[in-house]
Amino acid sequence: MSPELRAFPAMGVEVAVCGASDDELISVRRLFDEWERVFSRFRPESELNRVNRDASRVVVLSRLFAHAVGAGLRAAAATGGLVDPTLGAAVEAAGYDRDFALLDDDERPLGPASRGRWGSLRLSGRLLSRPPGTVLDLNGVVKSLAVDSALELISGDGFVAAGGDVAVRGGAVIGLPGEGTLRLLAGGIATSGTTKRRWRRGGSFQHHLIDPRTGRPAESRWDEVTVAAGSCFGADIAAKAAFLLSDEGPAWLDERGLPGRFRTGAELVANRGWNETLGELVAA
Amino acid sequence: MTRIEAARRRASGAKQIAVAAAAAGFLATLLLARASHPGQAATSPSSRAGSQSRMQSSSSDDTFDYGSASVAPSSSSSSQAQTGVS
Repeated sequence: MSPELRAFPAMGVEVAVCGASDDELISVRRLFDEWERVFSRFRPESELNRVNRDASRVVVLSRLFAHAVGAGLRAAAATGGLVDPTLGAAVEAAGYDRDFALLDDDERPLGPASRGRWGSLRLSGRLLSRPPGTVLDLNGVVKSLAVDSALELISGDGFVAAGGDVAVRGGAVIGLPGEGTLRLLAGGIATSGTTKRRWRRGGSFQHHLIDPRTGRPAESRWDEVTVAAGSCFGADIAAKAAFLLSDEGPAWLDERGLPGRFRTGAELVANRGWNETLGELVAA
Repeated sequence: MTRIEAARRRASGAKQIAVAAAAAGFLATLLLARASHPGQAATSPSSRAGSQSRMQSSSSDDTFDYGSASVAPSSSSSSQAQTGVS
C-alpha cells in the first residue's frame, strides 16, 4: 500500500487517491474512465445519451447503468423526490448544455422548465420504462457512487476524493469549505452548492442544482451545504436535499442523524448533529 | 382459389399476426409494470461486488439508510483531502 497521494483528471474534476497500490490505482483510474464514458452528458456516444435519444418506451440498460438508475431512484425515494434522476431537460434549459469550461454568458432566455418525473420510471433488472420525452441525468449521484466504488478497490486504509466528494477508510483530515478541518475516520463527506458551477443565462445567474418541484435552478438560503454520512453517496444526496430544502435543511438532516454545516456568504451555521459531534458553531 | 380469396386469406393472416403481437406487447407491459413500481431500485448485480454490497447496505425507498460517518474534531491546519463544491 502506498500512503502517497496521487491524482488524475476525470469527470471534469481532479480525483485524488491515497492508500492504493500501483495496481489498485490503475483499477481506480479504469473505474472513473468507464463511468465517465457511460454517464457523460457531453459525449454523444455515452450510454446516457444513447438512452436519452432512444424513442422506445422500454430500453435495455448495461449493468452499470441500471445500477446507477437504481441508485438514483433510491435517492429520489429517500429525499421525497428532491434528488431526481430525470432533470436532464431542466439543466439544459438552464443553459448547461456543454462542458462547463465552454459555457459563456448567454443572453438568450431560459428554455422551458421541466419538473422531475422520477415516479414515472419503472426499473426491473436491466429494463427501464419511462414516458416519452424523459431526459435522464444521473450526474447528481454518479460521482459519489464512483467514489464509494473506487474506495472498495483499495484493500487497505485510504481515501478517494473527487471534486469535493470524499470516501475514507482508516482516517483522513478533511478540509472544509471556507475554513476548518475535521477528521473523518470512516464514511463519506460531500458538499453541494452553487459557488462554482454558475453561469449567466437570460440576464441572470444560473446553476446546476435544479429544484425538481419547479424545474428551475433552486433558490436556497445556502451557498454550500456539507454533510457527513456512512458513505459518500449518502452524504452527497443528503447535502443536495438539505440545500434544496433551504431553511428546513438543518432539521431535515437532524431527523436522519446526519451532521451538516451550512455556509451563506461568510456565515457558517451548523445543525444540532454537527454541533454535538464536532463542536459548536452558530446553531441553525 | 380466386385472387379475391387469396387476398382475403392474406388479410386474415396479417390480422391474426397483428392481434397476437398486440397481445404479446400488452402482456410484456403488464409484466413489467407488475415487476416494478415507482422508485424501486434495480436488483441487478453490479459489475463490482464491492459497490454492490455497499449499495445494498444503503438500500431502498423510505427505509434508506444513510449510515453514519465516524468523525472527530481536528485542530490540524493542513488537510489531506478537501470537500467542496466541484
